[in-house]
Amino acid sequence: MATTATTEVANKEAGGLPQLDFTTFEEQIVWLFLSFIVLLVIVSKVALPRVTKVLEEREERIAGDLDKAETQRRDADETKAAYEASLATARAEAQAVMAEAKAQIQKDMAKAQSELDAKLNAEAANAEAAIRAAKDKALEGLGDMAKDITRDLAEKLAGVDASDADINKAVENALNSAKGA
Amino acid sequence: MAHSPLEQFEIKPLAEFHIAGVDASFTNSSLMMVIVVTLVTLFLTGGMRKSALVPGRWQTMVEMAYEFVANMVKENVGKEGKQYFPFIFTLFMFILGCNLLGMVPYSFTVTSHIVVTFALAATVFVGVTLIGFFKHGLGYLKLFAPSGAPGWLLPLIVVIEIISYLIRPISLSVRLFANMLAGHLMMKIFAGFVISLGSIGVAGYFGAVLPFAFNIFMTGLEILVAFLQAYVFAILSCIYLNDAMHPSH
Repeated sequence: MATTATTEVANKEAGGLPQLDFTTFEEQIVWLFLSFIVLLVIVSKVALPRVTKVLEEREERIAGDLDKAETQRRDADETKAAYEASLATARAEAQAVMAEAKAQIQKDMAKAQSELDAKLNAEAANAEAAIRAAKDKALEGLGDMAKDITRDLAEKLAGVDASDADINKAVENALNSAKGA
Repeated sequence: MAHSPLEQFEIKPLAEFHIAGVDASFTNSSLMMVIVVTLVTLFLTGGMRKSALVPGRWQTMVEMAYEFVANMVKENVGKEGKQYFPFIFTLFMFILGCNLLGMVPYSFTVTSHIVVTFALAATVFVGVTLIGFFKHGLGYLKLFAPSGAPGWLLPLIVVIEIISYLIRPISLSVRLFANMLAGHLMMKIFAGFVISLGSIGVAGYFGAVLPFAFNIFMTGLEILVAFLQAYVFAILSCIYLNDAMHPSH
């Protein structure tokens, strides 16, 4: 097939490859340089600067954003440290307040306890005094009653009319022995 | 066969111009170049019309093209190569545009002509040589005498280095030209098979499936080659430029 193609072309008046037709070289070179130079000017003066500008802007923007992010991260770290410091201070303060309150309460409690103890002791002393008074009073009354009973008993049971002095003496002796007991 | 596979490469004048004795006729090749320049310009400016901080799809494509070539220049030439970035970028986009536009049916492949690829390669070669001598003076000749080579081998190495240096524009231009020529020739020949087999009759229809399928495969391959050859042309230009910037390495 290739051979027939070649012979067919060879039969043509120009002959051979169109690429070897020297008469077309001049115009091809002229138009090649013309169009290439036009494209070179367009590319270097218009097209590429635009792309360069966009790429640079994007690079700057990304670098700027990264910087901003880094600054913000540092700020966040600082804020966190400050927060933790204030938290620690607050905790220490709270603990101090709690300890103080505890001490105050214990103090108050101890005071109340001692007051109560004193009051109770006083009341107990009063009560004891009252009891003693009542007992003494009862014992005093007991003497007179015992004398009457003794006279009545002596009179009715023994038929003896005992003198007051004897009765008094006997009752005193009995009471003294009871008191002593 | 009514059409020769070579017919696609013919230069057809659309308007004749002669300016100061120079033939500047507007041909189908010139038309394609003008279309490529227009499309590349539209692609680049259209993608950047919003210049958004967060790019859309089109802008992403433009930025990808930019960064692809920018990285190529940075890796192969270094930071000093930045001033040549617009040239390399234009070279890459122009060749890529011509290669891809050539894949459109009924169009013309500008880069399938050796004179075009050679003119581009010669521009790179002459430019690089001038930059080399301008930057380093006669020190640029150190490029031909690699350091660390044994003295008795030096005459031989220098000759080889000079030949390989002078052959650069030829290898650079022939690589692109031959790839484009061969690819488009293959596609046309296999398309011709489809037509001739199809004209035989019913049996031919089935036979035509094979070259048709091959052409689908070839289309994909040629689009890959279009990118690859534009890349190779641009990266080799970068490597030559690097030699001009740092001749003794």
